[in-house]
Amino acid sequence: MKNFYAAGALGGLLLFTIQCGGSSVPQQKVSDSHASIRAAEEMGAQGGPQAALHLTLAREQVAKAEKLMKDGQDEEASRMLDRADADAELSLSLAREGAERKEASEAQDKIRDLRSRMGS
Amino acid sequence: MNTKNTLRAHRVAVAGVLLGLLGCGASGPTQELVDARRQYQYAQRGPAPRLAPEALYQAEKALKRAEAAHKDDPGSIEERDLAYIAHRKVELAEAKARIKAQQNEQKSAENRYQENLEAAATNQSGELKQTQAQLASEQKARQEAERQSQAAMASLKELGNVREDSRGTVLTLSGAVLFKTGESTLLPIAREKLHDVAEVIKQSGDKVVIEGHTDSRGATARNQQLSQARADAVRSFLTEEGVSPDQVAAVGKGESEPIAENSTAEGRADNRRVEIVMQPSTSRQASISNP
Repeated sequence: MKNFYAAGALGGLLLFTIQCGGSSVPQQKVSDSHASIRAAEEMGAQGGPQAALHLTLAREQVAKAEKLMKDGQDEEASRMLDRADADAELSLSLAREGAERKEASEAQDKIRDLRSRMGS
Repeated sequence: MNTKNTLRAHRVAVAGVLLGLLGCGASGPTQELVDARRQYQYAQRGPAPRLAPEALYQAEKALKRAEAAHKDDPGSIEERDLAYIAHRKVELAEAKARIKAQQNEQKSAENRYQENLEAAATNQSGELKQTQAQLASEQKARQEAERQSQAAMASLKELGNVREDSRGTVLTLSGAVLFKTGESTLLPIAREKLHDVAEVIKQSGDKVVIEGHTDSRGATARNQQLSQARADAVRSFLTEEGVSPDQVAAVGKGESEPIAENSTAEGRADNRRVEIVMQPSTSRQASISNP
């Protein structure tokens, strides 16, 4: 009898959680994923093809994670956020790589220009 | 036993075994895990171990988590997710290694550029010093030449009367010092004086005109001839002393340009003379005009 009531309480709690959209995935984890995507955007990830691709994947995976959370699939949602983080971080690095390469190229142009004016 | 039932049982058993075998075959790694493994092996051969070791280590840990998930539940969604993450982390390590390599190259290029700048500055400094030394040397040479010229002028003054007029620097040598009366052969003492004159002329590089003059006694034509012969004698001696023939000309003026009264003995003595006119070059002329 006692076990019956315990099971019922647990089931009720579960139903309540699902119906009210509550999730065990910490909100901080979701916020962190959004922050990673913003960081990649600010670095100019949209500017490079590879960086832009991983930025898009990150955004899509965060959206999927939020849907999974609504559906109560927290474990899958948590892993989807991890995937999104990995893509966002890669997007950020690829954007940084592009920015550094551009800066190096501009510096080389300046050096060449100076050399030609110095006659060397 | 019923044969039909036995056969069915056998078929079911075989099917079961086959299914079992198929089940084992389906436990191979997912494509995500295969890709992640390959990417990791590739990254290990590149610059990531040297330039992004921490990032590559994180990727290795992620790959190990994926491998563990594969071992626990082959083909599961968890394995695929973890393999996907591991793959991204390997790519991240490679990207960080490339960034580091680029930064190193940039630093190296900046250092080379700085070295080039310093070398150019040193060269310029060296060239400047060389030019300054050259200028100093040339100035010294000019000063020496000027000193020698002044010394020569001083020695000229010892030889005779020196004055400047519109023609240039005029050294007047008395006829009595240079020649016997009525003759055009140089006296020995004249040769000594004219040797010094030759040195001055050679140093100056000026054009020189030697003018022979006489007093008014005797025939004009004879005086003209004598004055020319004397001017020629002086010119010959100077060219023997190394003065360029192109540099010196000889002109007989006869009695036409007296500088004193022919009515007195002293005046006539003064008129019997050789004038060595040194015509300065343009630059020297400018310096004479603008001291």
